[in-house]
Amino acid sequence: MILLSKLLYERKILALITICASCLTSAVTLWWNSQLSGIINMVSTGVLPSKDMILWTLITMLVMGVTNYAKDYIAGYTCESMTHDLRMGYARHFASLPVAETENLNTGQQLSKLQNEIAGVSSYLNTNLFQLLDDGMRFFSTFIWLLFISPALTLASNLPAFIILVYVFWSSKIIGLATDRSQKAKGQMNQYADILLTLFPIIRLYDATRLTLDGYINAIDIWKNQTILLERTKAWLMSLSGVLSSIPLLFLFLVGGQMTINGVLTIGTLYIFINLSGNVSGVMMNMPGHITAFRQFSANMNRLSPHILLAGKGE
Amino acid sequence: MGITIEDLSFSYDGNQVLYNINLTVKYGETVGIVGVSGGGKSTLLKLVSGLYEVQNGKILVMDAQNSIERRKNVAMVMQNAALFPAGIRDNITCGHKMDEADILRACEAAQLTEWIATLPDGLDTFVGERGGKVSGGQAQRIAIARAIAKNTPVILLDEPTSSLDNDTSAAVITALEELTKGKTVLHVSHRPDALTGCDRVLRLEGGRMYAS
Repeated sequence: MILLSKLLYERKILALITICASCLTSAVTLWWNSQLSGIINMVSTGVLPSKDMILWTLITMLVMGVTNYAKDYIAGYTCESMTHDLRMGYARHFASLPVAETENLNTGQQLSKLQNEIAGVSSYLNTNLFQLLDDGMRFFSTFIWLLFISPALTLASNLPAFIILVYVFWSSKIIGLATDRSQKAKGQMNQYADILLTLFPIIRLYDATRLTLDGYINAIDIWKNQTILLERTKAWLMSLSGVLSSIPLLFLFLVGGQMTINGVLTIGTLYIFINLSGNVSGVMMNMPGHITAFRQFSANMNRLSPHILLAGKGE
Repeated sequence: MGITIEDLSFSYDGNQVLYNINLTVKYGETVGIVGVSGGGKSTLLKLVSGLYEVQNGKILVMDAQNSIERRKNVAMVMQNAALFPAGIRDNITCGHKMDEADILRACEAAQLTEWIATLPDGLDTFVGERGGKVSGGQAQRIAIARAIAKNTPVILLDEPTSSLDNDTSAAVITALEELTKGKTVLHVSHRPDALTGCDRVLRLEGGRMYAS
């Protein structure tokens, strides 16, 4: 992960702006929910909200739209810049190699790196990295705010989620290992294909099609079996995780509903808990995917690290 | 006749590489062809071996004109020994059924026996991806053993020792002598000294053949 920190350092100003935009968006979302809760509480007691209140709500909606757009735009720009640095670093590494070393490079292996690792890392940077940061930001800000509003309901509805987290970490580790095995097998298969191209004259001269075909089919079979195993493991572990992740919402309705019936909680506050449950338990629900993707990203970054030569400044 | 080439011309993508080549190599004769890199030497060997199809002219190898038949009659050792990612045995047999005695004979002739005896897995030792687990000399001798095991009347040599150092090439030269014994040989090199044992040496320059 040293490579990730180097990439972030290269674009430190952009990364900081992205974090700030994410903080601002979270704050505006919470403010919007607070206003909505107030309106619901007023309506439920038969009082109509004032014109000023409706105007402020409309302004909050507008600000929320603008901050969301700005956050996505800045995050996208930052990720694209980091991806560019990564690809340039890969090219710079090859340009710096001695000719003798370049001649001995396995094209299939390098192509496989480009197809698997760099494409995987770029895709993660563009779709997941700042999403993860954003999710983290929303999770902590919402959790703290909900604790402030009603500690009992917050703990009751979210404690099961912490237990689920243990399962999530365990399952993501298993998925990560299976992903790594599948990627290694794919690399081997591509490497074999490249060797076959190099050996083509020998294969023809010595009529060695059967020998090489057997080896290639074997490499494909290993990759196929590893990929099937990966998908099967993913399906089992993640579907169970999906079932488990509905427990916090059930607890929220059970405890929160009782509290509202008993008059301890207003309907508006319950609405806030339901509306923002996605920010807490929802983030946890997506955690297996996030962790799997992050482990895969981390493994790719570690494999790429020796082949990336960063310029030391953004280009 | 071992090899007969008549009025052979060849071009890649409109670039003429060989012009009107005529050559006869008698059965059991060793002919050397010297020339600078890019002069068409390797292309000529690929045409003779049937790896490339003849465009103009005629090539006969042991009276066979068809490229598939020509391939059956030749074995070739190239500059960089290309090994399969398999064991030594498979690299010699190329997956064909072969008697153990024939494999061992090929190893003996290629000066491999002593080295193989030191390996825990013997003939089944994995040579690595692109022969990465063996040295350049060992890889070249495995390639020679492969050519010996094919047991063809015609041998084509494309600078087989040029990428080796002096110490390593001594064993490879001994192996090559075993391979070419009693065979029709066409040996190309950019170094005239590599062709000292040849019955005749010709010069290939700019795609044209001259007497040396």
